[in-house]
Amino acid sequence: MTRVEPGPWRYFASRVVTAAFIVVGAITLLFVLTQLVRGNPAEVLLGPRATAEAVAEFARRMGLDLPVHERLLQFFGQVIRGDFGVDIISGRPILDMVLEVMPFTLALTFSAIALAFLIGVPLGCYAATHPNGVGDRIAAVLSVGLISMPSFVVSIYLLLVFSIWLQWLPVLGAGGSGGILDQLTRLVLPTSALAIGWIGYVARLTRSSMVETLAEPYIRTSRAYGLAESKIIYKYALKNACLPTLAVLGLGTGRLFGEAVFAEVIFARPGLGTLIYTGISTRNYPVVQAGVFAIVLLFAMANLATDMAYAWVDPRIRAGLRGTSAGRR
Amino acid sequence: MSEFPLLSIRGLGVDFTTSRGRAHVLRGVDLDIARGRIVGLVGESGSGKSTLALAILGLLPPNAGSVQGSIRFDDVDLLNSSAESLRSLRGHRIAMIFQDPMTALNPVFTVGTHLRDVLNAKGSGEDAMEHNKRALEMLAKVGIPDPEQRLKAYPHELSGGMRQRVMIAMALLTTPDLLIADEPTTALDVTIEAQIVSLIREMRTHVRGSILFISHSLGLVSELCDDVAVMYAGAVVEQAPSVELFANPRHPYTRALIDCEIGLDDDDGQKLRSIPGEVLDPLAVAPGCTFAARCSLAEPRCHDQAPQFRSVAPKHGVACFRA
Repeated sequence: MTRVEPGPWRYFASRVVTAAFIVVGAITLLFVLTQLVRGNPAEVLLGPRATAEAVAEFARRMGLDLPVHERLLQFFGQVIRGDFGVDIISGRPILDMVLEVMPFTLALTFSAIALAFLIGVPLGCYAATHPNGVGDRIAAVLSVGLISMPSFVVSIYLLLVFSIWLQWLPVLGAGGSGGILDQLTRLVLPTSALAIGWIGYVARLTRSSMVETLAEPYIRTSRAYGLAESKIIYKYALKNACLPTLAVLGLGTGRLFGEAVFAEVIFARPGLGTLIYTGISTRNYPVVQAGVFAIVLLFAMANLATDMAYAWVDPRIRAGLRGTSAGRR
Repeated sequence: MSEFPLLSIRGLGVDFTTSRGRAHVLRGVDLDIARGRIVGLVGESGSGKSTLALAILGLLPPNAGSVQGSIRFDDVDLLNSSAESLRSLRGHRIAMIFQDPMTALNPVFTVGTHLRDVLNAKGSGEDAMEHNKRALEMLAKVGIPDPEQRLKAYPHELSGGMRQRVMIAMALLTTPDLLIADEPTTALDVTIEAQIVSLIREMRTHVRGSILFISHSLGLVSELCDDVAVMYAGAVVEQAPSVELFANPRHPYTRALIDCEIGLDDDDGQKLRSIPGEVLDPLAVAPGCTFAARCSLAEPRCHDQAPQFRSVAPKHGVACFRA
């Protein structure tokens, strides 16, 4: 067997294949799991007084009469065709329903991750360059505190303080019909609620990898050549130190799509989370499947983007000399 | 040219705070580096050679506790200079080549970035185009083939020897008065070592200043250096011009070291010679000579009185009562 020369394209191809495996694996798992949930969706939707025939007919129309592996194949067929069928409750195409709410989830998730990095990375750098100082200690306590607070608890307190007591920010909704300013102000609280834990996490991670990087011989080289300390930290060290943080970015974005469910439900925002939440409470599996598929796809894409960013920062990964996120350290 | 040496170190002591206690890594170093000369600093691992180099640069690690004595560079008192004035000396008047070229270059920046930023930090007032041109010229000068391609290469794409050439190019770009080379060939293959040594010898024509060449190999130092300083357990025990030192070693440790190297060259199956005993533990407090415990000539006063560094011949100094 001739060995393919390692290089950027081979790396890219391997990451795409991995992403495809993640999507297929996650969807298969989802189908197996929905089998374990009790309750016939048709019975739930039609109520206790429905006749057996009506229930059977409804189940057939939802495609729930087939065995699970056939439904799985059917679903992948739908994915390939880009057609998820029609929602039996609202009578609208499911794809439209998903695409309609997706921008809200994307806006929420990306603004949360951006906030977490914009605050977390400088905080981590500061702590690393002033080790054991007052600022470092305060940052440490704050970070751990923020990490350990669940986002749904934070959400409720944020609502209470800023919307109800202070009345600075709107309570609920996404401001869909309002202007862009209205939409942005309604994004503030859910974004903060989601980001707050990640700020602490990113700060801790950046601090530890920064401390480690600053002890590397190549940093001593930079110092030996009289480079300004700020340039050493924010150019020479940060580019190395951000690698582990970058690895977390991918996983973090993926997890944020999940955490967004809470924020969307609590703040009554439209989004994939709300869509899936209502879908599950009515056992509306076709909608749940399409919604979860969208999240899985976004997760895989976020991971792929991270791997690309990783390779962009570290030339050794581009050259295939070094593993990525999972293989590092 | 003025008479006083370029670099003059007197009674330099450096202690490190370790989990086992205070480690006396440098115990009163006296060293002179004359202008325009290559001075070899020889000693076994752990004798404090690298610490001495870092002390000159003002780059001792944070756990280096107390620093005593004085380091005078030209007319600058290095130990009492501000961090900012030290920074402006580094990469400008003092440059350093590190031991391991594999880790001394930043893995995520290109060779070109390394070289250009050295020029940037020096603040020559030239633009990026000019910097690029000078970087290219320097790469060619240190014998790197295809310099235009190498400028865009990352450290991992170069061999160890090539990386060390890049480090040397960085050092030469600064046109330093003092170049410190800390075991620049130790991490390299023997064949590459020979190339790098001949490059450093060639560099003499480019470096108008002095070179401090740190090595654990007497042979290498005798080939390359004008003067040799021998270090043992955190102190310089003998310093002399190379020819004088090898012809007329005075300190028992220097003699033992020369014997060991000769022993290495023997082909007649003679046993490898070594110095009996162990190096003084850096944590130990030694009132006397640091070599006394291993010295065959030691007399009672050697154990409780430290011998001062004294002149025994022109330009030949030694710290030993018996020399």
